[in-house]
Amino acid sequence: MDIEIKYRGKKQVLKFDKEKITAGDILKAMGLSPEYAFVVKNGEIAQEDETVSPQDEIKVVNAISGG
Amino acid sequence: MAKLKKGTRCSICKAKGEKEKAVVFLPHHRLALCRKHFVSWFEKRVEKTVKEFRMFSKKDRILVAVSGGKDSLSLWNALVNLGYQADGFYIDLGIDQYSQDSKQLALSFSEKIDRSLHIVSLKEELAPIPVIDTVSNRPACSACGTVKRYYMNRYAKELGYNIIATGHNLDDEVAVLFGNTLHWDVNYLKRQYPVLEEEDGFVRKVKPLCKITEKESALYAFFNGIEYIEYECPFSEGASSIEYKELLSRLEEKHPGTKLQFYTNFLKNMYPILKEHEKKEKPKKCIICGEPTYADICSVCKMRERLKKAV
Ligand code: SF4
Ligand SMILES: [Zn+2]
Ligand SMILES: [Zn+2]
Repeated sequence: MDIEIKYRGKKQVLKFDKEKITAGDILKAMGLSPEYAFVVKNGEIAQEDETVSPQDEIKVVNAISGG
Repeated sequence: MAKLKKGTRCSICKAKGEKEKAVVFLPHHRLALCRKHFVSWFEKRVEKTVKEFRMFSKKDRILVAVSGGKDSLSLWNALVNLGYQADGFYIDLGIDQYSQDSKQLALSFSEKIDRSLHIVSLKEELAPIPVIDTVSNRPACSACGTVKRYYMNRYAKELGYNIIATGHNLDDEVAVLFGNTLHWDVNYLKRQYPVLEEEDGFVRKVKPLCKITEKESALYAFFNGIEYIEYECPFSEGASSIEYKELLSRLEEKHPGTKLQFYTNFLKNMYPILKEHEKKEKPKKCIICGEPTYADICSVCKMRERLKKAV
């Protein structure tokens, strides 16, 4: 399944080879830890075990910044 | 951050007999919170930090260093909500699209909360960061930090503010502390306190978010609908602080509370020892611009000389 996400202002597509995808899977696929990142699904915070589908509007927020 | 189990209720709502679902879990504080109670928890924590370190009071005039990022905007929002007199200060660093976008976000936010935002253009004052970078032999971020501190201090005095507040969060402080400890950089360690007192031309500087994690700050911005710059400054790539942050977050995942303890125990146990051995050197006045410095000529005036030679 393909999931389109928004990350740091840019759109990006994640490819998964399974059908049930959770917010935690998205973080994992992006190499981010829930320690400093979270997923927003249709404007609400999605918990790690929450499922997401291609129809959802997904945004990934990484709180780490440098500089 | 460990997982929030499905259907967990907000700890505070539960105590009040309400049923709101928790959306945030803070393992190091053993709290699961709903949106509303997370926001009030955050603001209370900021206020407690302000009082613990005697940073400022409601009578002080505070200038918040605003970058357009989540931390500075969250800080500004929280201070205003807590009833402090806080205005914003934005330095346009002249870093292409990044500066344009972050300035726009800072401006829209200041309009939204109806507080003034003072804007200074580095291009007019000195030169944009990409130009400074070509004549400087230090990393861009180090030169950038110097000019930001300089103009912040200078304009705070000119505009009549007696406090400068910056959005440094717990993760920033812990990453710096970790780096300074790794290098046993005692001169930096003894200055790593959330309050730098005012003295001889330096305005008092404070870090009210020093006990707020980066994620908490991003969540607070999210819950308040604060729009902030989401991409990084092009110069920040490969900063060692990001590596430290990722490393420390792995420790934190296994042992919640590690970061906070590393930082607060430093302040409690190590900082006083370092402070005792400090040989107090008094700042002088820069012979060119009059700003405080420990040399004859301050680093920004030196930069200006170098820029002149380069063209
Ligand atoms: S990342 Fe570096 S150059 Fe960019 S704004 Fe921050 S300190 Fe300045
Ligand atoms: Zn609640
Ligand atoms: Zn000078």
